[in-house]
Amino acid sequence: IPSIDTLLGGGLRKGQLTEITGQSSSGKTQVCLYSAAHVAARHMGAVLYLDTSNSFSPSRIAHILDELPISLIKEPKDMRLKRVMSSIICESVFDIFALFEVLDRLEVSLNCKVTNGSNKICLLIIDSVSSLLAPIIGGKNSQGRSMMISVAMILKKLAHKHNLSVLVTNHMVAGNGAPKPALGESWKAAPHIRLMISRDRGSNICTATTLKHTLLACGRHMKFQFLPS
Amino acid sequence: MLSEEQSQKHITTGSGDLNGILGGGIHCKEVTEIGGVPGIGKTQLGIQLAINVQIPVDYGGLGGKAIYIDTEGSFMVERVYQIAEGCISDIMEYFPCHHDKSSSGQENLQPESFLAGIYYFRICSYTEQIAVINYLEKFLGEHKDVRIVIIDSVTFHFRQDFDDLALRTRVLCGLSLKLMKLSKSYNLAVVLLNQVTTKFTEGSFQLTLALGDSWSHSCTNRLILYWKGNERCAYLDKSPSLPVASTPYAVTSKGVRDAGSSSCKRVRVM
Repeated sequence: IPSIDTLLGGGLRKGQLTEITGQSSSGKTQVCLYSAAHVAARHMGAVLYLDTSNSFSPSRIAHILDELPISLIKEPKDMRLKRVMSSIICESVFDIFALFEVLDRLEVSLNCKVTNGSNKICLLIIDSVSSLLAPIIGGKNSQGRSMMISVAMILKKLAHKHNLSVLVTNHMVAGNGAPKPALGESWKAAPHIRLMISRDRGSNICTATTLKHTLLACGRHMKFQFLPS
Repeated sequence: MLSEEQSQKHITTGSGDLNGILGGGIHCKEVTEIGGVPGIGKTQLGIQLAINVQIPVDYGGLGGKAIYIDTEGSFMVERVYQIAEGCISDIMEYFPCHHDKSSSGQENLQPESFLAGIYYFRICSYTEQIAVINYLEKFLGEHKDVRIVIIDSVTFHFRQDFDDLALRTRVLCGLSLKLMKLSKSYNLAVVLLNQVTTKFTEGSFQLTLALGDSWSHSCTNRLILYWKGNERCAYLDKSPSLPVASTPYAVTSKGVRDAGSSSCKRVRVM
């Protein structure tokens, strides 16, 4: 999506952890699907998609691929679809321990795999990390928060060591008056880049705002639109 | 994976227009939340789905059983019987040629067998609700033909008397993740019926679904039912692969059908 790429300074950067936060149905899952489809379609590498709400939909990926500009298409549609689907690995995780397990396995496989250009994972998407962390955060003991920090550290280490881009989604909670991103203050420091998106009621136009960026100024807005299938 | 999704069947809601905005019906392997004001037909839709999931495969259905978890006590057996009869008469209408072929299959299309295919749980407190969901995993392992789990309504016991809001959020998120896992691993549809509450935003009172923002992320799809004048409408609010859309529908004596059908309608009481 061109406007989000501009906000991010060229796209999802390798070695960095990017977070997208927003109200329900503001388009976070769509951004994840778009990124997965584009990365897989342009031969950049494999994508590991960790889904917590069963929202990964192959037919939606097919629709997104159909929207790609014609100049990039050099192969027949169904072959491209097959290739893209085989480069996207989708796993469902439903609790935090399963997440740790998957990340461990990923680390092991990245450590010992011989680097083979198009099969190496270059993008890791977790949609959404906040629903995995929500059952353990809060309350009296701080174990939940420590797990959240360790998830953040593992993700950043994976990103840095194996040159992956990591994209996570977060949701919003009601603060005192205005909604604010979930997961609290300690999480705020974890991602390198944070984007917030919101959708105008009743339309498909979404607005993205940078909340935090290591290289560019914050507070920039961009409007974009998801074309309906 | 793509071919698997394309071959997946949907559970018809009984109304052609509703099926249209849902992309064919309620999807299996996904959690769908349906919310609306009281009296709009959520329980009716829940009962309709519990019946429709049992439509035999020959007639385009899934031929599966249903689990109905009732927290409010709104499951009326007489109404279920009525809807089952309505469903069977519609099947007979649409598939007249099958009468000659499978006369043995026809014997199964009795309202009683539809009633027998619904496993009913009545729960009276939130601890029971949590216990049932934990028990469901074992139950589903034994009864592999269940294709839909309907919880009506998921929020009822969590709204009153819950002192610790953070605990409530944690418990609810854990519950929703468990339901997601169940729907994915046993290939069934999970339908959660939810109530509405008023929220004070931007200087006016707005109706939003109960349990707040953190709960709104725990479902895959969301459908909101509302009144438009004298007509019932459904609005698809959240879906990973479908655009937002809204359509009218009606609740008749036979169950949920398209709006504008000639059967008698229940007019808005409030």
